[in-house]
Amino acid sequence: MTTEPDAPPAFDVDAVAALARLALTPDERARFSAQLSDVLAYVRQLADAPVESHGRIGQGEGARLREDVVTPSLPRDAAKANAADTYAGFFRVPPLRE
Amino acid sequence: MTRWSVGETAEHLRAGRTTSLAVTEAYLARIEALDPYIGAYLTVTADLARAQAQAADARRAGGEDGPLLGVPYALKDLFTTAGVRTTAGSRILDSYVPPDDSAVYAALCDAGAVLLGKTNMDEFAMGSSTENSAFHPTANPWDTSRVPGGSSGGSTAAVAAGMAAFGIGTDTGGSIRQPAALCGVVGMKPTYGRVSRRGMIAFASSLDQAGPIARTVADAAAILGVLAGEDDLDATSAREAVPDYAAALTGDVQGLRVGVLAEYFTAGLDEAVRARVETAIDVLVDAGARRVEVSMPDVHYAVATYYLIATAESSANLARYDGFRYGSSSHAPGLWERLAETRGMGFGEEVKRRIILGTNALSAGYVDAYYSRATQVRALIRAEFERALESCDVIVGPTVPAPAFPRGAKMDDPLAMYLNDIYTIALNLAGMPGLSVPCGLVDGLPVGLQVMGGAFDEATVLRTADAYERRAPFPSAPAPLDTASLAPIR
Repeated sequence: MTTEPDAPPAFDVDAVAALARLALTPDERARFSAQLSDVLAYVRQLADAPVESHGRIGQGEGARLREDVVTPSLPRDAAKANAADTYAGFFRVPPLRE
Repeated sequence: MTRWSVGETAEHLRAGRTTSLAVTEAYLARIEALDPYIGAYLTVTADLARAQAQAADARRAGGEDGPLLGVPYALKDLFTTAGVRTTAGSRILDSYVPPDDSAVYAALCDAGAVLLGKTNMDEFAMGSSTENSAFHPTANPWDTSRVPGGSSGGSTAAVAAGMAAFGIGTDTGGSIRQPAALCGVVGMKPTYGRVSRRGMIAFASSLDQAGPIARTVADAAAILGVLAGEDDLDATSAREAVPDYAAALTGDVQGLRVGVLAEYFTAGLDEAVRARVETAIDVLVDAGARRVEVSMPDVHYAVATYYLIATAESSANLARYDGFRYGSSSHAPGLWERLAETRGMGFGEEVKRRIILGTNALSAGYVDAYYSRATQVRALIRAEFERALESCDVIVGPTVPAPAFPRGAKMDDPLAMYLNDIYTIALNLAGMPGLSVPCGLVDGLPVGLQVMGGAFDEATVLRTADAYERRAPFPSAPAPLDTASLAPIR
């Protein structure tokens, strides 16, 4: 689904928090709804900008890749040193499904 | 000796009048006495500092020299330091000990600089006041009831208060230049890609850049010379050769075309700040520079553009904090519940606000209206900078619209806080270098002149600011703190 630049759909803080895997308190939910509606009203001015003919600048512009060869990486013990829980050389996480 | 510039410190060390260990002890003593009231540091690395100072003294005794050899500094807690806790100002990383050094810290170690500690910051560099730290706020050394600016407020306050000879910050939308202006020190954001970001915890990857905070422009030039350069382990680091920045500081601006950006002098700029900046421009003109009027009619879109692009990128970058591989974690039984609860507990309010804003900007149904549109406006703003720089060599204006505001004044109004960066954000979108140099006091509080230049032309930006500073030296130290009358901040 796409939307006209000047008419984005209404802001639903619960749906977006779920997408972002972010638990919010009831207070945060109420406060963010009001504050972010203000911010979104402010950014809506971009619909009026004369952007034709300048292209766009996205993330990664100018980045260069190194040759695709294997190089030494972080040792396993160092990679695990900050983990909450490990098992047999892996990070242990709760089951996705019981 | 805690008021010496980097250049003066190196000169005293070179002449054998003192040692790095003695200078380091002086800074550590000052940190112990003052920092409870300023809150610039999150971690003071006293033992490491003494060891690095002794190593620097040994290198000098062995005949080595260098602009930062044996000079103590403060590092924003966004740069990883192997074996030293690195928090990004966040509860979610409050016990994180990195396995690797960031490129910036490694370069400073190679240069023999002495790490005094890791400094306070707005969480993940998201903020303009250093009040969004999960640990404690930082006070402005010129008036402890006011903010130091942010997000690199710990490093700037440390330099201003004589608790480090120089500092390192990061600037995604003004986070070096804005606190530098509010604390009365020099702060520079180099060109995007000029300094490697390996090991610099990511906020908005198309905007983030590391840079120096110092008491003089010459110091900033010397530090940038150490930091700048290509890094094979940062795909965005630039290959352009690094010029001799110190050699560019000739003091000569004869014939230099100084572009005065009309849109940075309109409504919203404090009249007293305007007067200080106009006086600073007159100093450059009296020195032989030529004043040129320039205009960027669409630069007013910068703040809105930034708060879509930066939040979108941060929502992606901060997705890595799951609490499984590093960082604090909840104990909820299910995978998705634990993930959401870990992030909900570990991130502060401003970080959550920005993740939601950015996730919204990237989500189906919104991406065209918000994120894609913002990438187009960003290209428009860069084109306006490039066009303006056809008629001038540097662009100047205020760094901040007003002096430092009281702590707590803008915490409930995110949009008002975001607008504090109105004069710094556009340069990040354009990817070009800029610097703030102190240009006077307003009601006893410092404000800054911002000098901006073309991509990889840091040398001209530094030359301009240095020429100004030579002719209008700033009283670089705030009045001594009366600690007996202050309550500890941490």
